[in-house]
Amino acid sequence: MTRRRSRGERRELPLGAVVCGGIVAAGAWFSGWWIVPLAALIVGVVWWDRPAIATEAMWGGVGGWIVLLLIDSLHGRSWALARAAGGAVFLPWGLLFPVTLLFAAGLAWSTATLAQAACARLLSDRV
Amino acid sequence: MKHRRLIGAGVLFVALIGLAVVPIGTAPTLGPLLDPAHGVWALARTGELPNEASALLPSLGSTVEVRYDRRGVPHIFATREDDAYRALGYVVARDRLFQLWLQTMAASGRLTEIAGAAALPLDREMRRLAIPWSAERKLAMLDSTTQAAKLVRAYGDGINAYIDQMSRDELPLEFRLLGKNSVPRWESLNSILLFNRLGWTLAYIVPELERALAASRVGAAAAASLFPENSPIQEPIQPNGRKAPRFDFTHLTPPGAADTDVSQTLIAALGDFLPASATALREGEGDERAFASNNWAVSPRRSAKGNALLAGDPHLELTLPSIWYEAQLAVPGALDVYGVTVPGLPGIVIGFNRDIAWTFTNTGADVLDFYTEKVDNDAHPTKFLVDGTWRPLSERIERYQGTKGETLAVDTLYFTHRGPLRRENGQWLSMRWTVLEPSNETEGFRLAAKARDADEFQRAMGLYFRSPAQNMLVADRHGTIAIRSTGRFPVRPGSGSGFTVRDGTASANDWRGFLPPEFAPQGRNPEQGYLASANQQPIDPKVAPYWLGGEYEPWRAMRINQLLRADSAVTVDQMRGFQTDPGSAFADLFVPYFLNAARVVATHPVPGIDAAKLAEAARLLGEWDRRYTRENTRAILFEIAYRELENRTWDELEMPGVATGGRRRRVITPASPVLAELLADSTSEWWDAKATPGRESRDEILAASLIAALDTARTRYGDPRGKGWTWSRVRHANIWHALHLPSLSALDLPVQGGRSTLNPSSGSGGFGASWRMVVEASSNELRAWGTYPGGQSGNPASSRYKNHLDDWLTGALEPLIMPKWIPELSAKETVSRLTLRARE
Repeated sequence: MTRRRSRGERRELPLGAVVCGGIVAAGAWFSGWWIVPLAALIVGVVWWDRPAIATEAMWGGVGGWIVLLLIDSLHGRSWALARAAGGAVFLPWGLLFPVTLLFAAGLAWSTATLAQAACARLLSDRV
Repeated sequence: MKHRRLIGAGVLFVALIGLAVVPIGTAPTLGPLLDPAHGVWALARTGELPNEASALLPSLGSTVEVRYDRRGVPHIFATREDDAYRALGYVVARDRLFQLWLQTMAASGRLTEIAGAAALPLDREMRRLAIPWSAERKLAMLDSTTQAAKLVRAYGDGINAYIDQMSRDELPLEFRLLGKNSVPRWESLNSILLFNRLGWTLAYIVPELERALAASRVGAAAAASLFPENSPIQEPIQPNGRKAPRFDFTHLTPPGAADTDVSQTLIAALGDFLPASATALREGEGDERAFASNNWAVSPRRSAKGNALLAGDPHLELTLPSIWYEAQLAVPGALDVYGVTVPGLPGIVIGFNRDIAWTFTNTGADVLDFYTEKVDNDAHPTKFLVDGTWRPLSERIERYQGTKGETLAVDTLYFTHRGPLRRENGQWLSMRWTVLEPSNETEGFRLAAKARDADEFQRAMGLYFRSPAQNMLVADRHGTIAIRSTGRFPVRPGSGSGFTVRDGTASANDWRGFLPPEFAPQGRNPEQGYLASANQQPIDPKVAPYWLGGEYEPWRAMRINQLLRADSAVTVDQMRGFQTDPGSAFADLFVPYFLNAARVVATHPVPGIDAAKLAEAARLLGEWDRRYTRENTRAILFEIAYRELENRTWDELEMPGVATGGRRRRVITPASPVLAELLADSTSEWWDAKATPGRESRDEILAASLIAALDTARTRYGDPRGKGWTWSRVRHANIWHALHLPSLSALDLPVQGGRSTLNPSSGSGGFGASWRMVVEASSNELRAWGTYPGGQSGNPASSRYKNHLDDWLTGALEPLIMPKWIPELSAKETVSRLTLRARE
């Protein structure tokens, strides 16, 4: 059972997702795919005390890559590419799209989860 | 719970990072591949041509402007000829970089560096045939100060300028899939390697082996009859004054005792010399006459508008991207040519300028001979014997590397003055092959592009084009049409035949020279008003005092001659229509034999032949108009019946041993004109089926073949009245990507055409018209139309990857525009501008 949000309660801004997505989208142009775990590491460390930071990082990673994929699509035929390149790596029917996003999601979530756990352990030991 | 989550995250992290950075087998690493900024997705951004672009090409003499038209064709406007070729190298690399690299790796026998040990047989074939050795020699002998040498270098400069400046986003998909993030620089040698490989594709013809294989089953005399020196159907390229084909049919020598001594030695010795394609031929499974082509030209007096007309469609392996790349090179006062080039070759191979148009078909002559040799030491030979004198052998070490640079194998190659020497099954054999000999085709193409009339074109090609020999057809603005089989044709001692392996210890057996161009098969403004070549025997043996040899099929030539003879006012549109004409001289000859056999057997019943089924099969075949249209539902019955006929007729050529898949393989299959010749001889011993005690007649074999075809067709395609028999459902063109990846290929494309039609389609469907062009040459200008099965770009995300396919499938041609200078290309026609500068 999930608790319903009461009328007075404010939705918390998913800051981790926004920052992670921003770093990924902007950083990818200047670096490469590894900006995803790096961005997840940063938000995982900075907001280690937020219970859902791994999920936020995951959405950030996915969001950042969606922005980049949209830019690709605006400039060319991403669907044709997904079918051609995807088929070449045994991913027919445009499955390259979801696989690409799952890759970013998995990387971001696992990195942030590990980063959060490490911080929790280190910082709670100090306290 | 918390721990489980942590363990899960750890495992996922390690797994994803592992996949991201560590390649598994030949699979690429996922990180760089999936990166939407710079991975494969970036290719979507680079697939389309930008409206404007500029680049540095430091070796340029002056700025070059390139305009891409709506068909994606670059029109290169330069002020210097070498700059035009630099720009050509640049634009080809921009669109076809992976193709350039892969072709070079294949030609140089280095595919193992991509695919590992699996590619070793292919690489060994290239190197043992001395393709790289020959290319290196040709380059070394090319005078570096000549125009041709300068153009080869200029072209390479253009390719390398693109490679140097290419952003990582432009790295072609295939390099990424292979896990490569950089592209090796282009070398001048590569262009020569590619030309040599073309020679291997088109001029590796070994009639010695065909006869030897047949002799191993039916004896030398019968083998000579099955693989005759001349085609039994004569419809030559050089007009012989006849208004119809001539059928030189004779009685085929009956099968005799196997000639096991000579032929087995030869087969064993030649076995490893042979390319995979010849092995397939030996097993009777080759793609029937895959490398074919058509060209024809009509004199002004036989064309509707009084202009010379020319059409050409070279039939080669269909690939994506295509073997061809379209371009125009314009240099005021020096050069103005449009056509198709092979990526990697600096020049327009087939095309037209303001005055002439030209196109080729393969001559298919025998330009390769083998010699038995004697060496001083079988284990470590250093010398070979000629005329009683030991001559030194030259030696070359070939090292084959794997994907990580490891050595997979090392071969030592030896060379006599004739060419490469090999030891097979205890026998030393050397090879002489025109493809390996010094030549300078680049100069031929350079001069041809500038020729002002048919004579100039023929002079240039006659001087410089040596191999692979081509039937070069040219038409000019003055109304001249001319054709000549151009290249080097060896003059052999003795009978002049290339059917035997000669004794290499006697120099008297060496080639005496080459046929002078004036004696080559040719025609010029003939009385008949047209010229046509389609891989038939080039010259009537009754008028040729020499032997060209080779492999010839007359069917397409018969059909195009039939069409041209019937029309004395040919139009451009008819020329276009002929290119996909569904008529078949082959079916016209064979179908009546089947129908007649059914009638004969019906009136004289034969035990074991189901009369009712035969009548039904004959009725169905009789419904066919012998045209391979897409919608016809009877061609499939004929196709299967013909196969059955071959199987039943040539049973004497079956390999000994156990049958696989219901039938035994044959050591080799005679060409279809020989079967046509046999059909005219109803009492030949060849009709007898070896496996039965009685003696079968021709009509019994034909009837049995037709019944078997009906059974097979029913089993495979269902009821004859159903859609399953429709030609478009059973016959397809398959245009594979070079890496054989289905998602990058265009497969199962319904085509109009079949065996031996002008638009041939048979076997795997992987061969066909690789470029179609029609040109009308009036006294004022040349107008041209063309298309090819693919597109200009090698990027599968590009709209130019296979945008010409629909036109190609329907037989439509697009106008080829050839502006004199930049302003003539309207803004509407221009989709992209590229400026190449020497410096910022």
